[in-house]
Amino acid sequence: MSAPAVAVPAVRRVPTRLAGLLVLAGVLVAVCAASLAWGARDLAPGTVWDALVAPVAGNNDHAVVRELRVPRTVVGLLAGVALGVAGALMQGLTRNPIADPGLLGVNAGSSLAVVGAISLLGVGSAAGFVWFAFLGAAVAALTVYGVASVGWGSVTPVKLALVGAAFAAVATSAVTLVLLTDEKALAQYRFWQVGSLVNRPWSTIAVLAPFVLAGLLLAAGTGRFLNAVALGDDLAHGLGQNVVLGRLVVLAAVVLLCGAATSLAGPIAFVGLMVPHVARAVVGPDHRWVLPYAALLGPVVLLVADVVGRLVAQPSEIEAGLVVAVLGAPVLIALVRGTKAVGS
Amino acid sequence: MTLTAERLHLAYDKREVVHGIDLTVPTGAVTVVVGANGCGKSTLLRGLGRLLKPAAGRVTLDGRDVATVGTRRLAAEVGLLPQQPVAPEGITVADLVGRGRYPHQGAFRRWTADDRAVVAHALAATGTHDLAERRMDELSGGQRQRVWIAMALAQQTGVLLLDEPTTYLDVAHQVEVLDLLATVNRERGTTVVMVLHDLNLAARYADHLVVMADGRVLTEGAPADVLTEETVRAAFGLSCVVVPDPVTGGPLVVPVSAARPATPSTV
Repeated sequence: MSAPAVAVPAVRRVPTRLAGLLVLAGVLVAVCAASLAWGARDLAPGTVWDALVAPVAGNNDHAVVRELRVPRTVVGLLAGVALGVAGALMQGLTRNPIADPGLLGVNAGSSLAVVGAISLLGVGSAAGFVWFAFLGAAVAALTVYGVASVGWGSVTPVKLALVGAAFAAVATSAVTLVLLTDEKALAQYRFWQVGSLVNRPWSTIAVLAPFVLAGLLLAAGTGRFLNAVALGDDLAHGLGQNVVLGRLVVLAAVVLLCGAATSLAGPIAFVGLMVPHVARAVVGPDHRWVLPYAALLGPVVLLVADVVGRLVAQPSEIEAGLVVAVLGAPVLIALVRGTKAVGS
Repeated sequence: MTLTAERLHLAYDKREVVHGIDLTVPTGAVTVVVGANGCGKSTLLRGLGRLLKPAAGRVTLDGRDVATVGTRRLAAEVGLLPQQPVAPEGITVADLVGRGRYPHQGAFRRWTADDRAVVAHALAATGTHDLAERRMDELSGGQRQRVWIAMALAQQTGVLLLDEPTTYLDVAHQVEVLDLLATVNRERGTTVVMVLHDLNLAARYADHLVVMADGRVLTEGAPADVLTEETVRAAFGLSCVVVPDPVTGGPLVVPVSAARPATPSTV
C-alpha cells in the first residue's frame, strides 16, 4: 500500500503531551511541598524536612507536620485525583460538558446518608461518616442509573441527567428537612458539607485509598471506550465497543472515586466540573490524554485551594471546597469564553 | 462476504417496524434502500448493523448469525455510519479518522505504522488529507461527510452501511459523496448498503435497488427493472412519470403534482 505522505497529528503530538504530563507532575510535587510547608504555624523549610525524614518525638513542630499537614496533603491528593478523574469520566460518558459527579446524585446521596447517620443513628465522628457517605453515594448512583434504564430504549445521557437532577432535588430537600428540625445535626453536618481536608485520621485514609486506587484502575482502561462513545452510541457500537458494559465500568469507577472523595473531603463539586475542562483545553477531546491530565490537575487545584485557604485568613482558615469555587469560577468562565471565540 | 436478513422482524419496544424481511445483499455491489418516511428503511439498516436486536429472525454474515459474533470482530467486518453523526467539540480530522482503527486495536495494542498508513490512505481516498489538522467544527457539511466516510474507510470493513449519507447536503455535495462511495465500491470491492431519499440519485448509484413499504420489501432488483410508475405509486402514493435519465439512460422519476398539472404537450 503506497500511503501518501500525510502527517497524522495524533502521533506527532505524543512527545509534547508526555512532556506536559511531566511538567504537571512537577507542579503537583511543588504544590504538595507548599501544602506541607505553609500553614497557620510558621515553620522553616528545614524543620519541615526534618519532620519528614528524621522526626523527633515530642517536638511540637514535627508533630504539626506529621499529624496535621501530611494527612491533609494526602487527603487533598486522593480527593483531587478522584474528583478530577470522576469528572472527566462523567463528562465523557454523558457527552455533557457541564456534567459532574453531582449529576448522578452522588453528592446528594452522600449528604443524605451522612445527615441520616448524624440525626437518626447519632454517629458523630468523621470516621463514622465515611461509610455512610460511601453507601449514600453508591445507592444514589445505582438508583439513578436503575430508574434511568427503566422504559423504552437504553440509558441515554439525557435520561441520566433528568433522573439525577430529580433524585438530587429529593435528597437535598430531605437533607434540609432533617437539618431544620435537628440543630445538633446541623452543626456537625455543616462542617462536613463545606468540603474540608482537615482532621481526617490515618485510619480513614487507609480505608478509602484502596477505593480510589480501584476506581483509577477501572478508569485507566476506559479511554478508548469514551472516545468511541463521544461519537454517539450507534457509532461506538459500530466501532466495536460494548456500550452497555463500558458504561457500567465507567459508572462503577465514578461511584468508587466520588464515593471515596466525598467521604474524605465532603461534597466538593467544582473540581469535577472544572478540571476536565482545563484538561480538554490543553489536550483536546482524546480521553486517553484527558484522563491522566485530569488525574494530575485535580489534586493540583484542590491542594492549591487548600493552601490558599490557609494563608488568606490566618490565623483562621477557609475550607478548600469554598476556595475552589471562588478561584475556579472565573477560570471556568474564561475558558468557556475562550473556546467559544475559537469555535465561531 | 455475504450479508443477509432472514425473516427479520425489528421492533422498538413492542411496536414492530420491520415485518419479516428476507434480503440477500449482493456482495461487492452498491445496494440502495428507498421508501416512504416511516417505512422502516433506517430500521432495517440498524438491524443489519446489529444496532437493533431482531424481535424474530436473524441477520447473517457469511452464514453466521451476527448475534453470535463478538462486537469487535463484527466491527472489523461491518462498518456503519449513522444519519447525522456528531463529532466531539474540538476534534481534529486526523483524530476522528484514527478512531476508525479501534476495532483493529486490542486493549493494549498501540497505534502502529500500519494504522498510520490506513488512516493516510482513507484521508487521501476521500480527498481530506489537506484537512487532517483542521478541526471538524471548521469544515463545511460536505467536507465533514467526507471525513466521516474516511473514518468508515479506516475501519477497513468489507461491508459499509450508511443511513442517508447525503442528508442536508446541497446537490453538488450529494453527487460528490455518492461518487466517492461508488469509487470506494469499485476500487476496494466494498459492499455498500445505503438508505437514500432521492429516488433519482438512488436509481443512478444503485446496482441493486430495494423498495420498501410498510416494513416489507415491496420489490428489489436492478433500478431499471424496479423503478416503475406502479412501484412509486405503491411505495409513496405518488403519481409520476418515469422517463430515461438524459445523462445515464437509467430511470428518472418525474412526479406529477396537483398544483402544477401536466400540460398536454408533455404527457
